[in-house]
Parts: sequence; C-alpha cells; structure tokens
Amino acid sequence: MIHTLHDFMLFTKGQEYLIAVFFLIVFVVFFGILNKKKESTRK
Amino acid sequence: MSITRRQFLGMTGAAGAAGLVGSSVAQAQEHFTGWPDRYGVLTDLTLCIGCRKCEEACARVNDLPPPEPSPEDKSVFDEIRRTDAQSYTVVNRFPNPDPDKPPVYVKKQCMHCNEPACASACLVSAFSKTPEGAVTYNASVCIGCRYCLMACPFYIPAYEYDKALKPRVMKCTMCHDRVKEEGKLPGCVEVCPVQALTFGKRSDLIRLARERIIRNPDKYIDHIYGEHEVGGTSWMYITGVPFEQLGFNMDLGITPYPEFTRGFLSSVPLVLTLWPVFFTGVYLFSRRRNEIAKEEGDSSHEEEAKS
Amino acid sequence: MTTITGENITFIEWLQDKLFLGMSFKEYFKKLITPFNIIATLILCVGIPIAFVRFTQGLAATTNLTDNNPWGMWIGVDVLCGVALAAGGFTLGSAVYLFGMKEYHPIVRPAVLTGFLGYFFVVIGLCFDLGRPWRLPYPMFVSYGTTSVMFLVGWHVALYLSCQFVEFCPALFEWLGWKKFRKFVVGLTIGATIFGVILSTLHQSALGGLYLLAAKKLHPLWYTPFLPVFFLVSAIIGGMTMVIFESSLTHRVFSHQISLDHKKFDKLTIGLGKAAAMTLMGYFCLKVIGVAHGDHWHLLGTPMGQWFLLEVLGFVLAPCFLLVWAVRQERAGWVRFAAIWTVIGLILNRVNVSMIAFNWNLPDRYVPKWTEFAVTITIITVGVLTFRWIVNRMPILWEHPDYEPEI
Repeated sequence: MIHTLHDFMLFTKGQEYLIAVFFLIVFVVFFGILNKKKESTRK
Repeated sequence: MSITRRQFLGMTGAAGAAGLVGSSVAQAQEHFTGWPDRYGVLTDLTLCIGCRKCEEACARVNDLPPPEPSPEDKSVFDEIRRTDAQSYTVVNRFPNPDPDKPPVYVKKQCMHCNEPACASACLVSAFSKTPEGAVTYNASVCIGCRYCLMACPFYIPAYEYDKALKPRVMKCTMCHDRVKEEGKLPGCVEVCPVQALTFGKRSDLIRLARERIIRNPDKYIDHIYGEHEVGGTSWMYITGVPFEQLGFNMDLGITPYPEFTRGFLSSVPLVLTLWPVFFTGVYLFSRRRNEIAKEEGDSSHEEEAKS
Repeated sequence: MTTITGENITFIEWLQDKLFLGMSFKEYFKKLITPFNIIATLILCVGIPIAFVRFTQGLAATTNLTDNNPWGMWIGVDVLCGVALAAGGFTLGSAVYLFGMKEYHPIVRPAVLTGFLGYFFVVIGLCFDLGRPWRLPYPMFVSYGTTSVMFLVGWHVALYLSCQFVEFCPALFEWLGWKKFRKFVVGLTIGATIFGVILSTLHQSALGGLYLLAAKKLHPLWYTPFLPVFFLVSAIIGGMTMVIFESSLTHRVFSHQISLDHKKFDKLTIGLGKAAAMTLMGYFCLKVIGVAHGDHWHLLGTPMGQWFLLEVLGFVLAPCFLLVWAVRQERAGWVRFAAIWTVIGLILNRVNVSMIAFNWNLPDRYVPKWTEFAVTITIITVGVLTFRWIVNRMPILWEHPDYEPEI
C-alpha cells in the first residue's frame, strides 16, 4: 500500500526485491544441503 | 439579543442534528468522505484554565461517579491520567516551555474518528459512527473481547474489569442522546466557563479554527489536530504550545485505521474461492498417482505370474 | 451391545468396557493413583477455585489487565499459542489425505486429536478472557461485525472446530462400534480436510491480522503488513514441530498401544523435521523481508531490536540449522530436540507480539498475575487429561482390526 511519499520511496527503492532474489539463491543452496545424502549411508 | 458564537454554533448544531434524523446516503460513492453535516467539538488549548468543570459535568450527565479528587484539589495534575471506566474525560496539565507563561491544560476524551478503529474492530458491530458525528457504543450486543481497546490509537475506551456480570466498554458519547433527542449541547461544552470548547458542524469548526490561527499567527501553532489525523476526527484541537509537548501522538499518520485491515479482509473471498480448487486438484493429482502406481504394480505382478 | 471382540454383553459390562477399560470400578480407581494424577489433582485444586473467582468477581480480581493492556496472557498464550500449536491437525491431515503421503497415516489420528482438543481448549481459554462469555455465539447469530478481523476469527474457529470433530469422528465411532455412522463420516474426511485447510489458512492468518489495527502500539520490528502471512507460516511450522513433539511423547507413554516400530517412526520424525526445516528457512527469509519492507534496519541496534534478533536468529534460524544437521545425520533424537526448540520459539513470537513488543513505549507494562498463570496451567492440564482419557479408550494410536483405514 502506498500512502505517503516515504512508502513510495521504499517501494521504488526495491530493497525488498533484491533481498527476495538473494533469498531465492539462498534457498536453492539450502535445499541442496538439506537433501544431500549422508556419506555413511552409502556403504 | 446577545448571542455568543458558542451558543450560536450549538443551537444550529442541535437543530441540524434533529433535521438529520432519517436521512440516508443516497448512493454508494467511490469515496465516502463522511456524513456531510456531522458535528464535532473544537478544543482551544490556549483558553483552558484547568478548572475540571467539564469532568464534573460529564460525570453528572452520564451518570458516572463524580471525579476523584474534586476539582478543587490540584494534586490531581501531578500525574498524567487517561480515561477510565469511571471517567469519559480527564484534564491533564503540561508545563509551558515558556516559564513565564501558565501551564497548558489538555482535555482528553474520545476523538470520535471519522472512520473509527474501534468500530472496524468490533465483531458484533457494537460501535457506530452516527450521522451526527458521535461514535456510540451498544452494550447490549458486546461480548467483551476488548478488541476496541486494542485498536484505538488514542487509548480511549476503558473496560469495567471489576464487573463479573455485565461489564461494559466505557467511553465518551459526545452526549449523542442529549444532542439528538433533547437538542442540548454536550455536558462539557455547556459548562465550560471560558468557552475553550466549541460544538458545531465539523466543517464550520475547521473554518473557525483556521480563522483563529490566521488572525493570531503568533499565538497559535499552524496545525489543527484531528483535521487529518487517522483520517480526521470529530473532536479537534488547536494550541499555542507544540502538540508533541502536550502528550499528543504525532506519528499516527493520516490513514484511517480500517484501511489497515482492508487488504487482509478482501483476501478472504479469494482464499475461499481458490483454495478449494487448488486443494481438490492436489487431492485428485495424488489419487491419480496412486492409481497409476497400483496399475503398474498389478501389471508387474501379472508379468511375474506369467513368467 | 458388543465388545470389540463381538461378544454380547449387558449395559453395565459395556459401560465398564468403555469407561473403565474393562476393569471393575475399584481396580480402575486404584490404577488412577499415579504421581502424574496427583500433581494434576493439585493443579485442579488451585485452578478451579480461581475459575470460580474469575466468573463471580470479574476480570479485575484474577488478572492484571488494564485499559492500556486489554489483552494479556489468556489471549497471548492460551489463544494465540494454542491455535498455532494446534495447527498439526490440518498440516498432517492435508499431507496424508490430500497430498497422499500415506506413510504418515499412523500419526495422523493423534495429530487430528491434538488439533481438535487444542482448539476446544482455546475456546475454553477464550471464555475466561471474554467479559461476557455467554455471548460467544453473538457474532454468529445476533450481530454481525463484518469489518472486523475478529469476526473472521470467531466464525472460522467455530467452523474449524466442527471440521476437526468430523475428522475425529471415525475414531469415536469405532470405539462406540457404530459402523454405519463411521462409514458416513469417513466419506466426509476429504471434504472436511479441504474445508479445514481453507479455514485454517484464514483464521491462522487472521490472528496475525488482528494486530494490524495495533499499528502504532506494536513495535515496528514486529508490526508489518505481512503479519497475517507470518502467523500462517509460523503456525504451519508450529503444527509440524508440535506433531514431532507430541508423537515422541505418546510413543513413549503409550508404547504398549503402538505397533509402528522405532525405525519407521524415526523415519517419519526425520521426514517431518525436513519439512519443518524448509518452512523455517522460508519463515526466516520472510521475517527479514518484513524488516526491509518497513526499512527498520536502524532499529535492530536498539534493545528491542536485539530482542527481535534473539527471536529470529536464536529461535528461527538456529533450530532450522540444527534440523538440517539432524536430518542429514538421520538423528531423530536431535530432530525432536530441535522441534521443542522451535515450539518454544513460536511461543516466544506470540508472547512478543501480544505482550512484550505491544505497548513497548508505554510506562504501563503488563505482567500477568499469578492467577493468570494458574488458569493457563489448569487448562493445559485438563487438555492433557482429556487427551489421555481418549487415547486410552479409542483407536487413536492403534488401528482398529474391524475397520479398513480411511485411505
């Protein structure tokens, strides 16, 4: 919601977008780590 | 015939209020800017002398216990008070930044917002913004969840916590019944000996306030508190000392409070219509997957049997 | 009337079979005297008189609520935490019945029962807090405040409680031996689950939505327009971790009832842990975006900011990392530990929103009265007793031999 000039600047500044894209990458890495099989189980 | 501006505004107010009964908004508008002839009160903080006669009158007309301690006892000003279950209005004292000038007294009561947070919060519609401007409370449907107390940006409504059977939310009614049925002024406005309070149509009050500010630019701060705060209120203030120093919250913004939940509330029908489609889809998908797995399992069994 | 094994018996015998677990009243009563029951009795001896005082003397006699702090522990803990932690019912119900994750079927009934009882006791807790609890049905039948988020919460909790009851009914009817009714309610399971998901989505988020009106009262680090989403996502986490916690407890306490072997059970725990880890990561990212949305980075250095960081790093990210490690090492014990940690983190979040970060700038701080703690503990105790009473009688942890599973 844009109510004030401050909100508007926040919106256009787009720091949220950048952080969200960053988290997209973080999540892919996270997913990889979480789903990697443990070495010892392959014996 | 001598008639003060206060009385004049008051009389037209009462007459106008009577005329308003039964009128309705003709059509749903794109932007509802509020009931056109709603009333309000303008408090001129440069005039108030802290006599607390308004507290007394308020208690009398609303059948509340008389203010404690009595108006003669000045020790009451040693602490900042808020409205509670026994008092719809309280007067607080704030030191004047100019030591040569007298302290400033600030009367506090319900602001009667144009779009009240309490009314939007109430799950049984116990609050209503009347066409006359007052925000009124109907105890006969109240379940006592106290969400109105949570929502009010001005910390106004109070609750009768000590009552087990019929606890009520307590707050100023701008003497709605007195004004509408009896054509009188609100108790506090009627009694004020220095005319620090003016009752009238909100649009007239804004004009009056602006006039005072323009005529006395050295005396007044150029701000009408309540003109735009939280989307505008029926009770407004003008002052000679900055509002920040008088306990007024200056970061409330101008967004009417119902706006804060509007986005969420409008997402409800979307969830109600889309979720069944989505989750039934998921269910059918998983059922189909199971059927396919079963068929494959059966056919592989058959093959095994054949071989 | 027949027993589980189908013999014809008299009404008294039937009653004995159903209520006293096949024992005579004397035997049953003797068996009741355990340390746990003695403590529970003591708690009730304190709690019930306080409840009496609450309903005869009013809220002022039993709470520290004020006009500035109108919602205290009974809302912050009993309602907000109760609803969030009872989300296991809908989370697991949809996983098994909708997403077709059949391997979780053995733990779905206890989860649904926990959910149903959780909500039921939330409503009981709410009755303590409401000024006029006998008017609880007013928003449904008397006066409609459709602009209120609370209106949604009221309706959805009421409807959802009914949904959960439908999901719980198969176990109830199997216990009573009402085969036709059982068949009927089993047919409703999918519908009830889907309806339950919708209602859960809406009321879990609506509980966060309530605080949207506390715009300038809630600390900016906790107040964001995303509050409803935060509450929903964290409730899903709370539901999953609570299922891990609750199932590990029941497996220990009711081990004689359980046919599932430890290895398989550990595998389910690890699977839930993995889902919880992913959701926690998503929740952590959301919390950061919440700060970015309001551009409140500068507040992180203040004391309240450090408290916020403790919540987000210490009780969201840290248990998330522990879960990742435990899932990869296949250590079910550590998954359970991390689950308890996450549950505590969720309670911390609800307490922060409702009490600590609320009115953070007012000198008038709310600290619950001892009687408020006592009522909360009493309600939890009665909840646990009810859970045990049902589990000891109905086919919750074991599958009834006479009936096909629902799916």
